[in-house]
Amino acid sequence: MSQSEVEERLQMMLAEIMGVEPATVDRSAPLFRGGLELDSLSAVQFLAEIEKEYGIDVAEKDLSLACMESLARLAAFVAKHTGGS
Amino acid sequence: MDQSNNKVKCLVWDLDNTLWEGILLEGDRVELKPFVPEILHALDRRGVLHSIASYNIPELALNRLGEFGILEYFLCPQVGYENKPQQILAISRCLGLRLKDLALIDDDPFQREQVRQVVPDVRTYPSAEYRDLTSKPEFQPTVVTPEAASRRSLYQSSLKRDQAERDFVGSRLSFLISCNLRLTIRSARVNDVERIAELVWRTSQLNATAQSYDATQVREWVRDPNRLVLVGVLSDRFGDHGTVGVVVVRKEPRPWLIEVLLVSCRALGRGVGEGLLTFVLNHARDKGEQRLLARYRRTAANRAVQLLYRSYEFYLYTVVGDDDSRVLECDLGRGLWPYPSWLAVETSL
Repeated sequence: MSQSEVEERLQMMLAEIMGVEPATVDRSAPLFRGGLELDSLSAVQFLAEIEKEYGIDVAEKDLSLACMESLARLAAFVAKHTGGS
Repeated sequence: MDQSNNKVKCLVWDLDNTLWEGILLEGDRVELKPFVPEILHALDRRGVLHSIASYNIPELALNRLGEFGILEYFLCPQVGYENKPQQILAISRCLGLRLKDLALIDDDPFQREQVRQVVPDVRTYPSAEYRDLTSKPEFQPTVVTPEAASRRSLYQSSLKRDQAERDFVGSRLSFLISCNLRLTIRSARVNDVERIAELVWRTSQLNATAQSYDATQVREWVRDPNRLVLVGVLSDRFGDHGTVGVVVVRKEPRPWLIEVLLVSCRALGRGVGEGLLTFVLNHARDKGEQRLLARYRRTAANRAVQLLYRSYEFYLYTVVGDDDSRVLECDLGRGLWPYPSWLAVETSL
């Protein structure tokens, strides 16, 4: 599972939650202030979708949620923690 | 268990031989049982919602309820061929209530037993007890607030907006903007105390510290000159939603500390938490504060508030005790926070 595969998938998941075209979701922009301006409930839904798809509870593994800086950073975190066999 | 947590939030009625005498599908000319409208009204005034779970033909049954003039009492009525547990699950999803908040009244012991086994958290009553419901403790609220009496219309506004959301073709942002959400943030007054206490034990989701505070405690805070207690009152194009958010800030000793931040479960996803937090951050900055702290205890149910603090760049300041409690901090030097673009905010301190 490469980071760019995960990035693309996360971009689609987030686009669906936001109701926009995936291409318009900037992967390196901040998820929150000064970027995608994701609200807290959408963020909860996003993490729940990630858990459903990748089996990883991001909030458990990264208590400070530092990885939620941007889509790219989050994808790197998810890719790293769903190691290949 | 604390009695106040055992209240029935929604009573689900079977129809045939429960709400009315007779069986509609067998051609009976059904008539409401004595006192049913008064009982519906009395419970409705106390903030108890009503719904229906009935094996029947929807048009027939709902029309008949309309003819009796009581259809409006029932939210998310389930009339059809699904079994009772399925109908009850649909009601709990539709209203956003937990199963333990629901109760079924039904004349058929087979149905009551099926519900007891399949969805065991749901309380069941035989239809013969319908006249006794209003005097049972689980149907008596701890306090009747003005909000309680209009709970049904708040749910109706909320259900209307949920339907509008499903019908909307467009981005979530443009949908939120189209809702004309208006949040009023103001200082809590003594007559907000009961509603705040009610909100505190009703919320299981966006409650930052997941603790319960009673009216006495809330009243102390409102009167405390060292504390700022703010309520968030929400309305949108579907109606008024009343007081849906609370924040309590302790100002002395500095730095300021958010002790309580909560939003009603039904008002999540509208930016209420964001609005309240933005106001407090900007206000603290105005008053010369450089940091803002927030108490937070992680629970399985309050992910939304965890994400809220994260989205506003609150990070860990210190861990408190061993029950997963933390104090978070936010650096106020990064400039003013804007309100969410879809939210019109009015403030008065």
